Amino acid sequence: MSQHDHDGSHAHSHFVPPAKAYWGVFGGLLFLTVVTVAVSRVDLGPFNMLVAMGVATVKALLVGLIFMQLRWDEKLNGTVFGFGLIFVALFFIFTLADIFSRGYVDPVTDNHYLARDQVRALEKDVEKARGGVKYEVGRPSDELPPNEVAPPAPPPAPATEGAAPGSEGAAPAPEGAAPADGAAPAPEGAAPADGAAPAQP
Amino acid sequence: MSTVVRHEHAHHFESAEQEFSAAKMGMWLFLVTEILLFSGIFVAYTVFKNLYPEMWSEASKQLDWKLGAVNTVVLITSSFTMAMAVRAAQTNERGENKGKIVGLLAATILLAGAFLVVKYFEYSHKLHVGTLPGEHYFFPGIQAANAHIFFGIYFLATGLHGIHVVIGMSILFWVLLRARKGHFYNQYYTPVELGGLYWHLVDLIWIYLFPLLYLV
Amino acid sequence: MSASNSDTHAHAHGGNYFEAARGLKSWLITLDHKRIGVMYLFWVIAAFLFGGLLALGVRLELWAPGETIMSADTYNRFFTLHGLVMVFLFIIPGIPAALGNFVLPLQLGAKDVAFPRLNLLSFYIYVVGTCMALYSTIAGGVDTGWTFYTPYSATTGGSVVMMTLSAFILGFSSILTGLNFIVTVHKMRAPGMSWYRMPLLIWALYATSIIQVMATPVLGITLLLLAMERALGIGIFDPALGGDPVLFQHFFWFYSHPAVYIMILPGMGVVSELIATFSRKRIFGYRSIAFSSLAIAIISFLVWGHHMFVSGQSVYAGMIFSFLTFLVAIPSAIKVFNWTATLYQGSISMQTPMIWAFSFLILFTIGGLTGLFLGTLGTDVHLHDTYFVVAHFHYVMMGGTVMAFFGGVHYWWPKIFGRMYNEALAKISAVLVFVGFNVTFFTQFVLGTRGMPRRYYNYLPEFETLHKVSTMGVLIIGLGVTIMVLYLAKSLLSGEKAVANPWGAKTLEWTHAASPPVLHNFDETPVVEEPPYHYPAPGEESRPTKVPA
Repeated sequence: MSQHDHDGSHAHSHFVPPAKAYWGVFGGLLFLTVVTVAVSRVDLGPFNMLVAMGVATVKALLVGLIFMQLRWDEKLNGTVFGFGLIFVALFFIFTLADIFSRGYVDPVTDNHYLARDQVRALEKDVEKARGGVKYEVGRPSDELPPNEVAPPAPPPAPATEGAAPGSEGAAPAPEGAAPADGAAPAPEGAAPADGAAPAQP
Repeated sequence: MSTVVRHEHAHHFESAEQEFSAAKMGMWLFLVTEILLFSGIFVAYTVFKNLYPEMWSEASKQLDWKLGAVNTVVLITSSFTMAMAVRAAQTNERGENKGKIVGLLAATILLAGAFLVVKYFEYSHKLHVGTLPGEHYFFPGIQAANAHIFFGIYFLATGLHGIHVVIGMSILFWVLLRARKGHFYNQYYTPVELGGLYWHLVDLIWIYLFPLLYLV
Repeated sequence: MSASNSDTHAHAHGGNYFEAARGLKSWLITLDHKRIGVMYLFWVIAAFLFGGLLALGVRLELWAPGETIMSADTYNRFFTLHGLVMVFLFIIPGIPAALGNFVLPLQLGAKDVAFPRLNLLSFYIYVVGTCMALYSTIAGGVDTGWTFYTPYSATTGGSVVMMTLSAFILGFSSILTGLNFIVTVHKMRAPGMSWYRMPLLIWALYATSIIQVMATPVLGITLLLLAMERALGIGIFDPALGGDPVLFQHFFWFYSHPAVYIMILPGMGVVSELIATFSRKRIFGYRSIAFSSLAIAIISFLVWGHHMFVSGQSVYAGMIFSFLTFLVAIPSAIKVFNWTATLYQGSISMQTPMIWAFSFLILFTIGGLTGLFLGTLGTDVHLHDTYFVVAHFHYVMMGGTVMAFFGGVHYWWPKIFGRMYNEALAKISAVLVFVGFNVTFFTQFVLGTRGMPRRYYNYLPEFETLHKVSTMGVLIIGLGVTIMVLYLAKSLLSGEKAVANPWGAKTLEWTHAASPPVLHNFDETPVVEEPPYHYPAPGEESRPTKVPA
């Protein structure tokens, strides 16, 4: 770079994109915004997320390549940007790889259990014991009806304090918030705020 | 109106071309750091969306997608006026485009202001009904547990983005003041260009935030 | 000596960068990379001395079990502050911002870094960050350890928020330096200075800068989230609120593991310079050393989970991280082997900088190899959070980076200040630090394998002897450092004037610039016509360095 000859007029020979390109991108971006909103109104299951991210990426490419002129710029700048995205990807991949494969290996059967599945299984057990009333770990504990069967202790402790967020203590109840699902408010004294194990009868 | 202030490149550069190219590369590196800054929020988003999927979609419905969409359009438009402002500077030979540069920059700043006004209404609504982060959360209308985490991430993401909008506005205002003095022409428009890059990045991040927060 | 001709050459045009402008103000608003480097240098040395005193306090407390000189709370604050000061105020800016700032443009043949204003800004941000860190120690102190692990850091008292904001601010300073260096290397090289003609320090600083730019922002968001956790209880890291404390560790180590390489890579660069210069030999495997720096920078982003083997991280993630950790050993070993091969048949002169370089080689190798123990999943379960870990990273950070830093300071001292120091005292000091270091930290390997946990205030009587030995080692280091401070101060006041190239080095700052250099570094832009470290090959006759007409 530094060895560039320059002829004194210090002329920038930068490409000036045609205004038409900008208008086109502007229109495209507005159109894609409509698309992404429209698609989100329809339930496509997991594909909603996929479409939303796909559309956002197309929009991002339009902004990056045209508005930010990467298409005509020195290759180095695009490389710098792409390089940064690689590091973002690394951050995602390794963090999520841990969080979504976390659990424990059963020393007897050698099977691997995901912490998340454990929590779901625990919730099912409680639901069964309560005769089908939905139970969610992390739910404010004052929603537990009186004389509730204590949820069984989690299976042999995964050595993971953070593996099952919320499993060791229910979230503190928001002050004064009545349970919105119509469940009877817990009688006084039956709602220890910090434990998933209310007093046994 | 018809003249421009000629730019002299700094002494430690060999040429204006080298100066421009270095400045631009520096800006792109800076943008990368911004992306990595936001990536932390996106990672946290992904983690908690997958840990509490039902809560997430329930909480997301508390956001007004119409306001989000309006703001998306506002930001896209501002990005467009910004791109046109850079173009006006690039084609400005003897100061004939000065009014255009200044006008387009002013439009960009105004649109950024509009974005913040909409955000203000969104925030004040949330303050009112209690869809707030962490221990300040008191909204009764969400069945699922842990909704305060969604709003924690919502406020962090939009708040950090909002700060970037404010910074962007100040930068563009400084650029506007210099443009009024006729500092920018086809041989020198680095601040317009770099301010523009920054502004497009703010738009870029919103392009992802909008569907992630409002439309899931 | 090849020095004399360029010496007269540079002096023909008068004043050096000290003389170019006078007065306090000329320093406070300077845009000259050399002056900024000098200001950084004094500041980081002060930070090092401060951090060292804190370490001394910690060691003295551990002289005997139970309370010796301070309470448990004070002890927690001492080791936390020791870690924070050494990491954020000394090691990270140490070589890049102080020495690198001075040397990098000179070695590239540039007049300055690409963005001198950002450079000054980065210095002031660093000063502000330092002040905030000091303030937070007065206003309550921090007892979380330098890692700020949640949920403890979200609940403990003291001024954690102020300290995290300080680290956040210091991160900006680090980013700006890195950004500046990357652009400078890309855009400001002198004519003829192709990538493969750049000195190895530049390659190392370039790799370091990549990490600084790519990783530091994540530290920023991590600390911001932590501050929010304390201020608003957002619950992201708090299990009681449905959050995940291990997620904090991921965030933290995504930055802080690469940051370990921010600390060591510049040290490796300095040592490459020292070994080539004091062996009077072309460096062996130039390209392998250059690319291993980049390889280390990239791989450093793939291994952070090895800090979390016992945190409850997924076993699969643990296995992958353990495997990748061993990969780091490859480029590090490439460097060590190439340095050793450079020494082979070199004409080695044991001047002070070279003594530091040898200390580095020995201590870094020990530090690196003990890292492999810790990277092994099963072994780590035993050694995790023991003094073995403390000893390991001190061998790398202090045995590696600090030795290289002092080697660099002694190497470039004549260039920076234009004065020589007392060689005999310098050698004594270097040997004292080396011996004291090993007494202090080798003991800790033994302590660790026997089960002494790190960060503990109290310990079992059976550890007492080893703790006493370790503390005595610190006193030896302290003696060595005190001698160093004294003779360097004397050199500043009344040292013998240095010639332009006292070491017979081959890089541009020695061959083409005066000691100290003139304001714009070179009277005319140097033109590079040779590969780096172009010493005569064995058998070839010695020839003077080319100086452009």
